[in-house]
Amino acid sequence: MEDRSAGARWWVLLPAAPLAGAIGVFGLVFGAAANEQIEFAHAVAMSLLVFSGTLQFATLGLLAGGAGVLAIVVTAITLNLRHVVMGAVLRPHVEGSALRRALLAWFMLDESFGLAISSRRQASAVLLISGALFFVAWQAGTLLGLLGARLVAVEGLAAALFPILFIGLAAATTRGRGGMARAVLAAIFVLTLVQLLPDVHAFVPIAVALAVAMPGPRDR
Amino acid sequence: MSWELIALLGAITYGSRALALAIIPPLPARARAVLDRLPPALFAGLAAHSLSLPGAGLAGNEVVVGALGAIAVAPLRSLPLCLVAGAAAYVAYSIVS
Repeated sequence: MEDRSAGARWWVLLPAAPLAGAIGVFGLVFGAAANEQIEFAHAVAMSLLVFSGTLQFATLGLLAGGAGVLAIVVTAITLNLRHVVMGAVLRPHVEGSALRRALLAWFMLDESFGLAISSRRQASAVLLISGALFFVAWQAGTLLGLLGARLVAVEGLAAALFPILFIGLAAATTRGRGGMARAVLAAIFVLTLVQLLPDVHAFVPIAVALAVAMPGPRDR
Repeated sequence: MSWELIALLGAITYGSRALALAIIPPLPARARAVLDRLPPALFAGLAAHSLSLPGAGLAGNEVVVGALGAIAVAPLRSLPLCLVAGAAAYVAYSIVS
């Protein structure tokens, strides 16, 4: 049964506002970069249909390097594999029909997934509202960037908000000493492996998380 | 860049989001137990990943200090508090450096 308390829901969504701002700034950076490489309509369509900053920036990088369609598609599959695991984690907390869950899936970014899973009983509502907020911010940012807007002064803070968010989400979802040990281990492994295996760095966090989550009883 | 490629990238991305959330049936209990243990490790890993420059060390000092600010209040297990402390540490370092 979902908690229908509107007050509790909005309290959970409070962290979504600064994140939407950060996502908007990155949308602006994407729009500015896309402006120099691809057509205006293609950039707008990409943000509307793909709605994934990581993949969209990677695609621009690959296009700039002269990569072909196959390389871009393989990159897209690799970068998106983590969504399958996130969907499986979130599945028990999202109620309703397959159609409803399919609609909610549109809004499952790293950030909205994190807010939803940390809210547990309100996961559907948090996923929908935060995801919709991030979608609007990403589209607005892309459009402003394509039209030539720049926000250099806050780009640094926007970049810093993402690791801060993930640390907060790790803290909010950690239960017991076992959970804390897994979080610390995962951070150390990722910091090390990203340096040793830079070519597959995007795949490292999910692979490490699965590896450290495998052993041991539930942390309650 | 072509319209077909944009549509394909959109389909791959949405498909990956919908596959486990809406299409495949719920996993067996043993797999769910592993997935229940996953979020803290995944978020800690994503934090470490976003603090790293692949093959080239850590992100800038301000970003690292912001992360340390969030880690300092992490034992309180409050996401809003982590955001405020991390952003405050980032701004404070930016001002004094």
